[in-house]
Amino acid sequence: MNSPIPATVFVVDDDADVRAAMLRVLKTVGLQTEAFATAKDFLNRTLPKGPSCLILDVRLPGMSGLDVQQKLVEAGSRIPAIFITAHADVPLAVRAMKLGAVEFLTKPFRNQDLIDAVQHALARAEATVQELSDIAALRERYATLTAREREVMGLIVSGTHTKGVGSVLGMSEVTVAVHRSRLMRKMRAGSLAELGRMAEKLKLPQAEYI
Amino acid sequence: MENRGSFLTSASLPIATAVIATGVFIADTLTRVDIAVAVLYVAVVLLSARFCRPFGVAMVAAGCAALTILSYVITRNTGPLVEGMVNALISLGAIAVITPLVLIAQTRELALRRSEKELRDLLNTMPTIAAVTRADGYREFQSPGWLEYTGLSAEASMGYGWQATVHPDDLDGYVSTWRASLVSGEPFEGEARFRNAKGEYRWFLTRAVPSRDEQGNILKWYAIKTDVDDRKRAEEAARRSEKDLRDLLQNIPAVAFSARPDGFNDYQSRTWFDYSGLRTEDSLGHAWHGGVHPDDLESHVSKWTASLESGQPFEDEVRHRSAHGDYRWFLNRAVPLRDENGKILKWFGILTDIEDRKRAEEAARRSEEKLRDLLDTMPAIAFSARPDGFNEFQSRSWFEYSGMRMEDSLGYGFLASVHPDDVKPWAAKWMEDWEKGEPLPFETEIRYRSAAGEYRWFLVRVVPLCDENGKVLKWFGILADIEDRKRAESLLAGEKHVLEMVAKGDSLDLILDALCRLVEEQIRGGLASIMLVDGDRLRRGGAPNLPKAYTDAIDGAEIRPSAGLFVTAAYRDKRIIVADIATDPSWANYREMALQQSLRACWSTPIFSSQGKVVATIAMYHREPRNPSPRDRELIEQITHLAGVVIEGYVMQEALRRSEAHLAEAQRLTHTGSWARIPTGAHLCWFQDDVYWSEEMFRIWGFDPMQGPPGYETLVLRVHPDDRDRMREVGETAMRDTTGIDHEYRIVLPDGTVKHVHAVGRPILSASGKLIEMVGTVVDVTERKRAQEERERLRQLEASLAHMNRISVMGEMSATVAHELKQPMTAAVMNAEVCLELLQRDQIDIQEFSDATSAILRSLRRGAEIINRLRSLSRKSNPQRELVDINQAVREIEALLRNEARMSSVAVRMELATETPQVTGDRVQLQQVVLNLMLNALESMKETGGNLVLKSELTETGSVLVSVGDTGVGLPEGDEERIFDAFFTTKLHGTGMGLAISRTIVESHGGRLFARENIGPGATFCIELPHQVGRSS
Repeated sequence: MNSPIPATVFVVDDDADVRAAMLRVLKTVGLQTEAFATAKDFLNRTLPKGPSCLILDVRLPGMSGLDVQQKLVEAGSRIPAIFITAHADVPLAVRAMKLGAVEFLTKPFRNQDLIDAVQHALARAEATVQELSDIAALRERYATLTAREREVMGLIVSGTHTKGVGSVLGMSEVTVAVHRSRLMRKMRAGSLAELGRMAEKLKLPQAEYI
Repeated sequence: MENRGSFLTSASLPIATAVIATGVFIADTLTRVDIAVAVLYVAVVLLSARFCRPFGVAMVAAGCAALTILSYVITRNTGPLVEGMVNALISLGAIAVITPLVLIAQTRELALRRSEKELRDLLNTMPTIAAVTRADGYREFQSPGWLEYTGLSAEASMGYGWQATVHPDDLDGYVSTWRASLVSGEPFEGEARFRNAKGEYRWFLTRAVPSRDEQGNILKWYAIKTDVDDRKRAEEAARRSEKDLRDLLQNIPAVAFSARPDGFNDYQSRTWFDYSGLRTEDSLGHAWHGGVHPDDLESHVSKWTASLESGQPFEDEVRHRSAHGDYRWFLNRAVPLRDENGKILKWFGILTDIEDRKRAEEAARRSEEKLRDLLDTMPAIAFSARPDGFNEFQSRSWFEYSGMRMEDSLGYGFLASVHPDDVKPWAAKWMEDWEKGEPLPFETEIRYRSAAGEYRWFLVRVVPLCDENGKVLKWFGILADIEDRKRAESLLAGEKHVLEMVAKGDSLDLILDALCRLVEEQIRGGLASIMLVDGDRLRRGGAPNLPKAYTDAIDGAEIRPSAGLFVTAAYRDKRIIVADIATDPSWANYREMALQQSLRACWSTPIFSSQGKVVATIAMYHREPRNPSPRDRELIEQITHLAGVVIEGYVMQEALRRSEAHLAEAQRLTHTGSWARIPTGAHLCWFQDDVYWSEEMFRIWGFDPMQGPPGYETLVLRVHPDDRDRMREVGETAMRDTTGIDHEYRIVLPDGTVKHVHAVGRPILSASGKLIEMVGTVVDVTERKRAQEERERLRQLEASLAHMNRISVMGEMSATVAHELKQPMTAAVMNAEVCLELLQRDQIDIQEFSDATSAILRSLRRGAEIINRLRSLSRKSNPQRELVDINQAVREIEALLRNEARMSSVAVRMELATETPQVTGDRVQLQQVVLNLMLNALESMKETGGNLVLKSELTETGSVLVSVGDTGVGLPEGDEERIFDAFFTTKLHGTGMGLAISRTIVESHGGRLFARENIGPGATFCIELPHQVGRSS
């Protein structure tokens, strides 16, 4: 909420009246909004760095709301989506939730429901933004490691003892210890456990050499 | 052998025996010869004969001889020599004598025994009955045939037991004869009845012969019995019948006789002698000739001789003298008896007394002669005929009338004078009565030709004269002249016939021909013609027997003086008689023609109508010059009058018939019946029954024209119950107020058929304004009504179908419609909430508020619009006829489906005409067609997306063309035309009704709906409607 970059709410609905009404509602709570009549227009837009969420009409000309969400997931985007539909049915809702929908609203809905859903989505978006910036910092640190240090780190996070690492890599235990202390310093890891969580966040390939 | 036999069996045998005995005694006492030995040897030989066959006996004898010799040889030296030798010789001699004797006896015994055995065997095997008895009659054998026949046992029949089976009546005679034979030794032959096992007796012939030995002594009797029962019985029957016959001949009242083939009379029955008083010798042979009447003798004998020669049965009537010397008539009949080769063996004959019959015939003949004399003197015609119709007598008046000679007329000759037309019926009548065998008096009418050659009608009355058995002996008849009566009758009948033809409605030609024939029948030798007056010409009416060439020539003759007689009559209005055409000056123009046709006389008479107008002429032609007799004039007068009535009546009737026929035809064509009704008395009662109904009226109401118009109450019952009161009321009012009737009601026929009729009535008033009559028509408008109702029903059905189609389309679109409605609703709800939110703020942003409110209004309007469009489509209303702006209608549908199109990724392009194309019709229905076409187009592009072109244009031919083109799958191949058929569908859930209903709608607007493949992908459906020029909404 107190994020330095202001959050943006994207609205994709082919009905001009509904679209305008939604923008008006969101404006009353001071949210920055951006509206599109078709999915295609939205997908052409580069998403901002800051937290954002998407209000998608399920039924859209050309490409349905669910198809849009599918495309976004496939592209690695983690923008939270709120689906709205004129008539909901269970299979539709299930499919939407599986694609990571935050909320599934049926027209007509109360303004507060929409606002709540948007707030919730934005909170999730902010968390995501935080997490992504953490991972980016770790990546920067990991990038500073030498090749040998990365090898040693990989073996350590997969639970190999110093001796084992030495025999695997063909070096003395002392050398392994040196590498370990250096890489822990570079990664700013206070303990081996912390190093392990980092490796997890970085999605390092484990047990490469086992 | 025989000598020996006789010697041995002779009386000398005992002497020889005594001599031998004496010799033996002497030798025994006086000599010392010992003969005992010889005797003993003889005994041995005799003994051997008891058990040996002849050969054995001979051997024994030889043995004994040998022993004797041996004994002599042994004792020769011990005893006296001579004595021994004598003894031996005596022994040898004894043996020598006895041996042949023994052998002979033995051989004979054997032979006898064998033959007896053979005989018995033979008898046993034979089927005949045979018996063997001893010489004294004691039966000792019988063949099995006997036992089988009598059923007795052998023991019971033995001896004299068989006598029990002989019939008691025959026993004594038979047995005594048999005994006599036994005593005399003569062969026996006797007949007697023997009882068989069943107790019946049958006749048998028994023959027995004795069997004797050499001495003639009877040894046995051999008897054979033969069954002669059948023969016996036949003999018995023959004897009996012969006796009966003899009795019969002696007792019948007729005389019987027989004669040899040469005619020699060899037998006469007793009656003959009783009658003639002759002795046998006086009548046998040819002696009977003496008793025949001298007048008859010669012919009788010659006939009899002829029969004898020819062998034909003989029959003659002859008088024989009685014992009293008077003669009586006899019928003599004789027939020959022949052998199998046809040779005559004998003649048999009978003489029957026919004296009484002869006398009766004589009497009848005499009385008939008297009658004839009487009839000849009578003025009437009389005749008599034999049973077969052969005329024997005709009275003198017949010859006077017919001019026939007696020899030509008798027998069947008179038939020549019978009218040819009457011969057959007359003969048939005669045959009928004759064959029936029941002779009854009869009457018939026949035309006979007079001496002058003219035929006249006669009434023939015939009565039969019968004998006591009802057999016709003769027919008697009388002819009465009935010519005058006949003519009068035939004229009357003819007139009646003509009037019947008129009544029956026969054509005038036929009637006039009949009239002509009638005249011709009455005036013999005349030829009649009737010419009709037609303007100033004469037309052929009837002329059945005039030469055609002549009638053709005079047909169409102009009516003017001196044209011809028949014309002149018409011209001068009076009768004109031309006795001879050849000489009459008034016959100039047609004389040659008439003479050519050998018409020599003409009597022409005008025929007048009741108004005194000449309507026709009748002409009587003759082939010879002739003047009418008073009777002819009278007759022509009568016929002319009749013809006048007939022609006038016919002309009137024809005119009436024609007009009636036209009216009836018109009524039938228009289903219009007419009626007339008369009120009665002061009280103008409507319930007076109809007095007149036309034919069609009966047909409409289903009543029988033969029954006449039905009563009013009956009529009312045919009216539909719901309409009865009104019908009565309308009728009564009309009668009371003397106003017209004009209303419709229903009638129900007995078979349940309901008819709608339109009744119209008009009062006919007298000068004083009183109602005289009510006349009117009833028109069957059922068909019209039904057609109207049918059209209405079809329209309703189409409307319902169209409505159903719309509703089902609505159903299909419900998701779209819900979505459509939810959009503006959602927007409105959100904006309204925004307004509320804004109102709660301290500082109200007026601009913002106003924007939100406007948005709400816009959304609501949009929603209302959608609802309106749907309602107008789903409403079921009767088809309207209004001016429809096609562009507007198309736009509305496009709006309704816009969203649907977007969902299917279909781009809709509208190319609407710049002018305002207008049509007259039902907007909703037309929109439905466009809707159906658009939905189909969207459906065809559902999978692929595409373009939809909505076009409206005004064609050069002045019609409005709306087309819906798509880029979808196109028309189903091969089924391009079937797509408009009901229930044809390519959709999974289609009803197949959309296009069928669409086409019906378009066609009911006077347009057409058709489809065509696009050059590119997809198809285009076109609605072509007539353009309504001018007015614009």
